[in-house]
Amino acid sequence: MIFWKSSKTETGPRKLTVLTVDDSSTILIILGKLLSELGYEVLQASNGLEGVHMAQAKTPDLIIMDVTMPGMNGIEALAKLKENPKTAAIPVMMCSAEQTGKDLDRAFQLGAVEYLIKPVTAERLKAKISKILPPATTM
Amino acid sequence: MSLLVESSVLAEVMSSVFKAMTGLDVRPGGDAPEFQPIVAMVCLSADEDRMVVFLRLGEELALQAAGAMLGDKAIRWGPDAEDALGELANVIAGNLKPHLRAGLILSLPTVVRGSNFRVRIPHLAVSQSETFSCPEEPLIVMLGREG
Repeated sequence: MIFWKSSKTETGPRKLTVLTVDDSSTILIILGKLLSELGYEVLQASNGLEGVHMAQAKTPDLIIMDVTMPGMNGIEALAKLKENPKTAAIPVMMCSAEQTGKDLDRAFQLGAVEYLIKPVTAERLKAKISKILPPATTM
Repeated sequence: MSLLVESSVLAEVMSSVFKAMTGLDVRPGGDAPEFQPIVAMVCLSADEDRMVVFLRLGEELALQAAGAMLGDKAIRWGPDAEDALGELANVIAGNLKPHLRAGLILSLPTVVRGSNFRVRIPHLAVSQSETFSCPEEPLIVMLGREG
């Protein structure tokens, strides 16, 4: 399934936006660098609650969400996003160092569309995003 | 001392995670210093079972790894380097998890730095300690299990 917004603005093609949510500043930096290189505009949040608020305010084209975070974790944040009609349709890709487990199953039950396993590499990220968004430069 | 994971599996995880996250080569072997000033650790727990993955390394290697991850070769020790080392331990623990037991949940990472300390977790016994070289600096991985 491919998700994207096809509308263009009067000023030209709209840059696709990816919201990254992770309590690790290192992962936010790595994802930010890789996503920018792929041509996406990047938003960042450092915990689940901040991510939910930012998603409501900015309606990004994709959310990449860490699973294990202090406070509101990624699974709880995903549930909040899917409860809210304003954010329910935004595709969410979960991101974790864990390759298996209850959280992975729960994330898909709640509506996550992909699962990115850490370490995050350019190849792995590009392969996962291409299943959800068109190349950033084609919008 | 029974191994929690095969040495070859541990070596593969260490090598692949370090290469992907830092670009640094890691290989098994080398001398293990008695003390290393930086420890990054992550707990894995399920039911009554608790395990810990420890990463012990020197400051030079820690900064080299953190700098590579953050794109800052001139990085000094601080919250950013701590976060990078914690994330490294987190990803190593996550990649070891399928080789341990089912149902384990990872904790948030903890990073300790100092010149004279011991890390002691009550009831935890070190089951495995293996030394690596990265590329020439020592890097020690210890796996402990409660019980």
